[in-house]
Amino acid sequence: MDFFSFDADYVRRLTEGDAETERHFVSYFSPLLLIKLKQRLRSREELEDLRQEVFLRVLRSLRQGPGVERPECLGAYVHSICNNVVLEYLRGQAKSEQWDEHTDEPRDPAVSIERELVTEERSRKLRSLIDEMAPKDRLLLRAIFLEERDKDAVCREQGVGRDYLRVLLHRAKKRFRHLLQEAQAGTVRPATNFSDLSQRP
Amino acid sequence: MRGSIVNHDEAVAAMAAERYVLGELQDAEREQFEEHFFGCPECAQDVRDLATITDGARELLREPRKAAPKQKAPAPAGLWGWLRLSPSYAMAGALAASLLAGVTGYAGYEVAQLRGGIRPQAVDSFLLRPETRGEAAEIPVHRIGSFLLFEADVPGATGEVQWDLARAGSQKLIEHQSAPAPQQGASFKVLLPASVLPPGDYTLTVRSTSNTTELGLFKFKITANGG
Repeated sequence: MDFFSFDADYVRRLTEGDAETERHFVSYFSPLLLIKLKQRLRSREELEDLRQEVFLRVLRSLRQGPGVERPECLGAYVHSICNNVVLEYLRGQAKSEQWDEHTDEPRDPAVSIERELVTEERSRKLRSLIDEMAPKDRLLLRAIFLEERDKDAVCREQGVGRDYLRVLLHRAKKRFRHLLQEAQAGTVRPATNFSDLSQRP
Repeated sequence: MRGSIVNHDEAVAAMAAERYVLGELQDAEREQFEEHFFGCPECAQDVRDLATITDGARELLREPRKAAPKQKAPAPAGLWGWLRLSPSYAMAGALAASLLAGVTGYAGYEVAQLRGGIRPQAVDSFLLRPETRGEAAEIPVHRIGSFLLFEADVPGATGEVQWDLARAGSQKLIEHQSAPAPQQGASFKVLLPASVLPPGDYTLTVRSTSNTTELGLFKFKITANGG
C-alpha cells in the first residue's frame, strides 16, 4: 500500500489552486474529518457543515492568510483548524440551547454516514469479510456496532476479554486490506477513479 | 490506556486505531491520537479502514442476510462517472471542482470554492433595505457553514457593477467584487457563506463599474443563532 506525505511542493500547488492537488487534499481529509467529527457531533447536517467549514478555512488561510509554516505538518494544521471549528460551534450551540427549550432531539449520525465511508467495491469486500467470520465474531460486531450494547457486558456474555475485540478488529483490518488488494490486482481501474488518488498523489 | 500516542510506533504498540474506533480512548488520548493520525498516513489509513469495517458492518449486519448488494448501472465515463463511484469522493470531488470554478454573479470567494460542492439545500434569503430607509435589517445565522442570500434593489444598474462588503465603520473590505448588473426588474443577489460574517454590522455597497457612482448602500446586522 502506498502512503502519502505532504511537502512544500504539495502545499504550494494547493495554495495556487492546482485542481489535482485540491481533489487529492479534499479526498484525503474528507473521511478523516468525518471520522473525527462523528465522535463529537449529533447530526449529519452538523457533520457536513463543519467539514465544509474546515476546508474553507484551511484554503482561505493558505491563500489569503498566514498559511502553514511547515508543509509536512499540513495534517496537524487541518486538525487544529477542525478543533477550532468544533469548539466555536459547540460554544454557539451551548449558548443557543440556554435559550431554546425546543432543541431538536439528537439524531443518529450513523444514518447514511456508512454509505459515505463504504464504497460499493469496499462494501462487497466487507460482505466477504463478514461472511468469513466466525459466528461469534459476527455476533460481537453486531452487538457492539449495530446494537451499541455495553462492551464489557457483551464480552462477558461471549466469554472474551476486551483485548479480544481489539485483536478482532486488527485481524479484520488486515484481512480487509488483503481482499481489497486481491481485487485491485485483478482489475484495471479507470484513471479517473479518485480512490486511487487518495493514496497515490 | 496509559501513555502518550504521539508517534507512529506508540500508536501501533498501543493499538490506538483499534481503540479509537472502539471508543476506548480517554479524551486526552483521543485528541493526541487524532492529531497524530491527521499527519501520519499509515495511521490515517488504519483509521479509515477500521471505520469502514465498523460502519460497514453496522450497515451490512442491519440488512437481512439474503439481501444481495444492489448493483448500480455502470457509471458513465468522465467526471460524472467518477462522481458516482463513491458518495464521499463525489462530494469531495464536487467540492474540489468547485474550488476551481470561476463563479461570476455570486462572486464571493468562498462561494466560488463551495459552488456545487455542497449538497442541495434551501438557503435563507434576505431583502436588504437601502440605508435611507431606516434601521439595518437584522439577519440571524443559525448554522456555521450555512449560506445567506442577500437581495438588494439597485435600479439604474447597467452593464457591470462593483460590490463591496465591509464591517460598518471599517474601511477594510471583506469582499470587493464585480458582477453583471441584474436584468431590469430583477434584484441584485449575493450569496455569502455565513463563515465570512461573524455577528456584527455590515454594509453592502453597489457601484457602477464604469463611473463608480454609488447605486445603493445597504446596511444589515448579523446576529448569532437568531439571538
